[in-house]
Amino acid sequence: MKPIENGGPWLGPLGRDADVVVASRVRLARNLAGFPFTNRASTTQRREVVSMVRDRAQAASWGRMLGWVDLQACPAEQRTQMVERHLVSKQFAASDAPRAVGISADETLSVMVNEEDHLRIQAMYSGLRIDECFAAATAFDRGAESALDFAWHHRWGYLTACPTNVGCGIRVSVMLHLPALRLTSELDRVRRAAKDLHLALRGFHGEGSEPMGDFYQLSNQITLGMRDEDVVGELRDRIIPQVIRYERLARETYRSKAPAAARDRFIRAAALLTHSRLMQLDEAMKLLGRLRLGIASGLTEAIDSTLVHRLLLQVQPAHLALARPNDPMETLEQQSAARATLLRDALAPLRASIG
Amino acid sequence: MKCDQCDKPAVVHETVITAGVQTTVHLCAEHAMVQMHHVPASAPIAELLAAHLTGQRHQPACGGCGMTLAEFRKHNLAGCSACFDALAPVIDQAIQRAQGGATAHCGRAPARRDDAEARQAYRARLLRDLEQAVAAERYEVAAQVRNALRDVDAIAERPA
Repeated sequence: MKPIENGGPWLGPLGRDADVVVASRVRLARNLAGFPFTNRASTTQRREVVSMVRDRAQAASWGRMLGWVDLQACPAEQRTQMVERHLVSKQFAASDAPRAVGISADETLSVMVNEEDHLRIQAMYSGLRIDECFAAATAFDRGAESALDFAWHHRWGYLTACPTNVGCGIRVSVMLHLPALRLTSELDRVRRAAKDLHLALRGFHGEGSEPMGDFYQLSNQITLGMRDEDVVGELRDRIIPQVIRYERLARETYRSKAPAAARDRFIRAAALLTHSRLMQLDEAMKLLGRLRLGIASGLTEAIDSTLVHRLLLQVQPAHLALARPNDPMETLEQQSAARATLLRDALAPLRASIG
Repeated sequence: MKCDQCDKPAVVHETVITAGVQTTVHLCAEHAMVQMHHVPASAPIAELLAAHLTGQRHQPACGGCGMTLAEFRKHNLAGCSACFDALAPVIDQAIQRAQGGATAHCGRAPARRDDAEARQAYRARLLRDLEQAVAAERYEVAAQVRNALRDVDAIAERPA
């Protein structure tokens, strides 16, 4: 996999609402008719599914843009790097069964084969760009269904292993930065409201992950009885704008009530990031989150959010190790030292500006 | 109370209503196991009971992949497309619970699907289930099946 400097969907244009929204993602779950689902498929059947999907994709215009990675032949560190970059799920990287992922050159489209479902088609873009994600995922899906028979039921629609995905198999997720809602203790209210609307608010890496640096993923839970375009429309037009409004309001409140504290939080984060000799992952994420809030609040113009987004990936363990093959990384301390060096170097312009 | 078939104490007491006639069966664990083998697949509640009481958790329930109800309940994952019919109505309930009460798909469908034939087969199965549920006076099940039928017909009438 190429280094993150070359691109990646996270590093695209920030777009509107970038003060709150980091990235958007749409995922479609599909299974091949005639094969047991991944959890019941034999090793041979799983291999067949991989080669069938890969061969048909490579032979057609709808799938030729994907480069394929055989996960069984892929070193652990690179698999982890793909997880850190949100290209594959954690479980998918960890399993030892035959499985593969197709990734487009710009990394906006990835197709996992033999995850919980035979196909997990995922499109991801920076900023609030759900429509573009939906269009890209749907274009692949339409192409794929011209060459593959998808499991389908006359009552339940697209069949998936888990009842939570049955129907249109769509999961729309928007990654949000919600530091002010957390600071003002409003996040639990948002979480409850989300639950009532059948939405899930999850951590940085989605399902089962902890929130880091106040980054959250908000996604739909219902996939049945709603057209996929309505799922997309509801999040895009109704829900996400509302959450953005709440977060902005909370930021306003926080800034007007405690302007010195807001500035102090930013300066402290900047100072630690630009001077520390050791930096653990959770602390780095937390401080980068504060930096991002400071940028959005106009407290600095020395750096922009794109740099913060890139660093959010580069400070992750596998990215760190692969970017510095000559540095010793055996201990947590060595890793923390490498992370601190990376941050000091990347944030040199910020150090100069805060004096 | 003794088992209907031998002198051991009965542990399974089941009331069966067939075509309006009610009978109560008392069975020991051993005979219950034997009897439940003969329970038709269309009596899922009896099947469930059998699985629970006799520990027959590995008896295949899905002809497609061998997934049993107990396994499905444990992992909440279907094993293949056939599970969605073989594990009804348990899987129907699991789906509706997960999906905020929604009862049928709506929206796009794959272009390449053998529409009419598969729908007819599914419809025929639902009609059979409905008949059996009514005969056994299981009106709650019957209502669910009727809803499913209505959903399937609604999908059929929608323009592609």
